Amino acid sequence: MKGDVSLQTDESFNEKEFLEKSSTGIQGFDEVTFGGLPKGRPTIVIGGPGSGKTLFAMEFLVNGVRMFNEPGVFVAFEETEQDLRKNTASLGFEIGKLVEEKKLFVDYIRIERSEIEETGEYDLQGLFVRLGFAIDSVGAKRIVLDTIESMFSGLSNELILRAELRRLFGWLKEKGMTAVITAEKGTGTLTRYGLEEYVSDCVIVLDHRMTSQISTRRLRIVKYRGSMHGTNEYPFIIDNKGFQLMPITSAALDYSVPKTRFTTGVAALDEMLGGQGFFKGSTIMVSGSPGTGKTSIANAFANAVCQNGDRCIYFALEESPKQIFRNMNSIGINLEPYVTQGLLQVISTRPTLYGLETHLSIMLRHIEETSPSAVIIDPISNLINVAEESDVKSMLTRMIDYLKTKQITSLFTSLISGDNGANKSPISSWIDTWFLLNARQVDSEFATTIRIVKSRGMPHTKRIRELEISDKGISIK
Amino acid sequence: MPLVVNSDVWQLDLFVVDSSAKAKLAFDNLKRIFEDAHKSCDITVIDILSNPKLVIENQVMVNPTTIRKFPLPKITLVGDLSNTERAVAKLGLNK
Repeated sequence: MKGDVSLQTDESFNEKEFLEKSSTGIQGFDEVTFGGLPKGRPTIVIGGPGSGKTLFAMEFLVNGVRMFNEPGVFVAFEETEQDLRKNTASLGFEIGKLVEEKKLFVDYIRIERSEIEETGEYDLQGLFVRLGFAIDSVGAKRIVLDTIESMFSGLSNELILRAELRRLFGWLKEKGMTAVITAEKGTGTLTRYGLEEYVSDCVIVLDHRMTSQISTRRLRIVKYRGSMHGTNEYPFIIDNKGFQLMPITSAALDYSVPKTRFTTGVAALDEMLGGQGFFKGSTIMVSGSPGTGKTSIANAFANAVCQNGDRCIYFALEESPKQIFRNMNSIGINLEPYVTQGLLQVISTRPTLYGLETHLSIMLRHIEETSPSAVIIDPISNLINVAEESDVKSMLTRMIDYLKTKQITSLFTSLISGDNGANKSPISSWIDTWFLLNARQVDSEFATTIRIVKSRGMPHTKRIRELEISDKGISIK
Repeated sequence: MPLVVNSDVWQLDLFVVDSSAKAKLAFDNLKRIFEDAHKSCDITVIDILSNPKLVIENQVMVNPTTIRKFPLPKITLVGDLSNTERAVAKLGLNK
């Protein structure tokens, strides 16, 4: 009986009953917070210069207007309205238009210490009046204070400021405002002036790191009172559509496993896999030494997917699309028509351009937009090379988990030297079907051998076969 | 009325929350400062709560705030002016 009672209590602890949330509309963020920011409460967003906190705040407001019909107020302590407009114009925020429509109110508050002389006791009633006026003039539900800490450099009486800020956050709560307060990262404390002490409902940290001259952005939810939240660091990107988080919570292992099979695009490979090819939604790895035909196998698969009328995204990390098309033409695979038909998307990027997480985030954005049935990354080893060893595993795991959840078949190629390399891959346990290619000297020439390292859930050959690539395509002896 | 450069009457705006203790204190202090300096001044008291537009226009955040509008340059004092010395020095009344 006791067990029953406690179970009931657990179930009645329904998130929605206790904590209403305010959706940010920021891709991925609402997923990791199970619905967004705490409604009617202040949230603090902490980050160094250029970490994206102003953008996060602005997107929260603009989405509020556009997607949820909640007007907003942006109080800028650092940038003028003109600057804000300019800096966010490339993201299509149209701040000017929203201001004209009276959906958004932007107030620039200037505090210049050199122009202010303090002559005794005071309070911040003027600020309250300004905020109240701004809120009432658009009927705001959301407000951003960016960056209220600037007041500490404008006014010297910290005691008064702290008391007044405490009163301000309480007042915002009373008004039912969902507030985002940005703050500079501090040393020793989370924020420079310890603001997190006053805003204890939700604390978010944005980080912009440079490792090996590659920049990566991350978001972490340090605290979210009364709510579940992911505790990981979530990589994010800022591109022409704004803020995007990797929309993955954790490797859950609870996705459905389809039994549908897909041809590999090579009859002989299908045969090696019991005659039917890959499982839909499975993860395939083709690894091998240089020049063994990994890209050819990848392209044969892309060809098969498109032939079937399905969409495929090919992320090329080594070659340009034109180069790929030319090379594949020489082995009888013609992919260009599929590009014109919109079935095939070839996206080339230089691996060293960004860090791993940025690459993955960009890939996810493409995948979300296209929802393909197959994704190819050629080669994935190039991505591993640009990342820190410790990151690779969790990042790729999340990526694979995401693809599996969406039942997208994925094929990765990987450059390795020798047979031993196979076991060293950080994601080996996530691979469902694994081909290993090897160059071996036979008499006076090299021959490429292929074997299946593993292929879960299907009968497959254990024999080492010989791969031959000619103008007629890929064949196996 | 055009302001004459050598006019002896200073123009001051005092932003306060009307009828608060701080408002009275600031007003009394301001008057006393000018009496002691033997200067004449016009003080316009503006209630922060009922004049949000003026508050925004003048970048007022603090209650009380004193703004010297004439003679130029504009000078902003925040606080209840009980630190008379500082106020007098900033306003240049000690010269």
